[in-house]
Amino acid sequence: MMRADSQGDPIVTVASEITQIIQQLARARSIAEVRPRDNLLAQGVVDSLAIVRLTHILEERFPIRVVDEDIVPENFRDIESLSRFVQSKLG
Amino acid sequence: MDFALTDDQLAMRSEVIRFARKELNDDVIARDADGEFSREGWRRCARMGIQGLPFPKEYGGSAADPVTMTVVMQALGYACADHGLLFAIAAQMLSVQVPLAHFGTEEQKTRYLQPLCAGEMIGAHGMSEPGSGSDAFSLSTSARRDGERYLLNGSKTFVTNAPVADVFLVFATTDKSAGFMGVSAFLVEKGFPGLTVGKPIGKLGLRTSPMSEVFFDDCVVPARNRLGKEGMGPRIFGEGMRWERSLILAFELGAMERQIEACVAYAGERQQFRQPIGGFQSVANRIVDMKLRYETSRLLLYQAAWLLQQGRLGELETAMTKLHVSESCVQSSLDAIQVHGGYGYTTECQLERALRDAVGARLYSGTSEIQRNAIARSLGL
Repeated sequence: MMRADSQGDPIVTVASEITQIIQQLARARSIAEVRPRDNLLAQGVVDSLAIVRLTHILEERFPIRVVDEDIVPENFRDIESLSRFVQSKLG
Repeated sequence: MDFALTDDQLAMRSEVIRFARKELNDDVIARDADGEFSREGWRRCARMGIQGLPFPKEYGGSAADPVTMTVVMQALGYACADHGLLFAIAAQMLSVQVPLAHFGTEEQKTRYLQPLCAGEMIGAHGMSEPGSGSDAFSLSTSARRDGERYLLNGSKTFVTNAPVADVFLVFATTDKSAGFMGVSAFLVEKGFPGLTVGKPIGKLGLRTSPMSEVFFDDCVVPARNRLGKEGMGPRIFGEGMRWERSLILAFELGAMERQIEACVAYAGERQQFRQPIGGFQSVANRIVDMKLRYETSRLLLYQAAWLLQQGRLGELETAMTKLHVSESCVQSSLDAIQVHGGYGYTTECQLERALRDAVGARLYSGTSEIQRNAIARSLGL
């Protein structure tokens, strides 16, 4: 399990880990590249199937629990908002 | 670990079986041929308390737990020959009433949940569209806010109960930029301006359960009829599906139970080569496989109901239950016909209708392929 405080600036580490996760999801959907502020929901990188996988991955990589109430556009719209969401969960 | 039903549950099972045999089995062969829905059967079930089973007493329900609900639905499936009626009732309870009970305002529950429990209203669930089925949230139907109302545009297909429904739970996109998280849910009455119900769609089985398309042309829906907040569509849909995928096949479990009894009786009576056909291993083994399918289905289904009761039902158990029970009831229906030979193939024997009714189970509430995808996901694949 990756810990946010395991190396360097925790915010940068979370953002970089999230970027990797999202790029993997995007590649699986034949989307070549996702920039930090690209809309993941409108692009279909995160859809109703991918959200289940994404929440599993987040819970595996970070010591957090994603509950139903967390699954709102504000938390999953782009890499930046997702990083902020994970960071807020980490406290 | 105690797998036994309580005395109350056993008494309820006996009472439901007696009720169904006496009140629900008139003219099923003819009504199936004509695709005729039984409104009288619907009312009788409501008087028996079926539609209100798991819902709070203040809305006319009896607050039964999911295991008790499964006992009742299995008993209905066992004794009632009109599985179209049972499917129509279960679809309303699990995909309309459950979301309404979980996410509805007090006003919405009083206005809709109460009459749905009482059998005074019929509810329908509108999600699938001509362009979206298994990919449920790629919706074209949109809802645009206009002051204190929404304007809905688009269409829904394969809407169970639509031709007879008074209220529809409809999913529509309110924010396209939010992808599937931009889907919201609405309670739309049949009399709202701009709503049109299409002609009934003919189908292979469950023919006494009417189904049609529904069209929305600037359909005016008051803002107070939005169920939950904007963007809560996936959660509302998911809650209904969790219940539906776990429990809707309880009536097919009852059918499997009845088929085994019929096959054992027939194989014991029917003589060929101067002995009962049950004495031939090829016949007996087929019935053995039916029994195994029934018992494994029963274990999965009651486990799912118990987990639901504990608030611990996950995607894996839901998908395994739906997949195994639906595939089992189709195979066992085929086997029941095979055991009965030429007679099993006739309309009069009623096994052919059970097979036609069972096939839909592999499609509705998420196809077998979708359930396999969900199981694979749960395994990390």
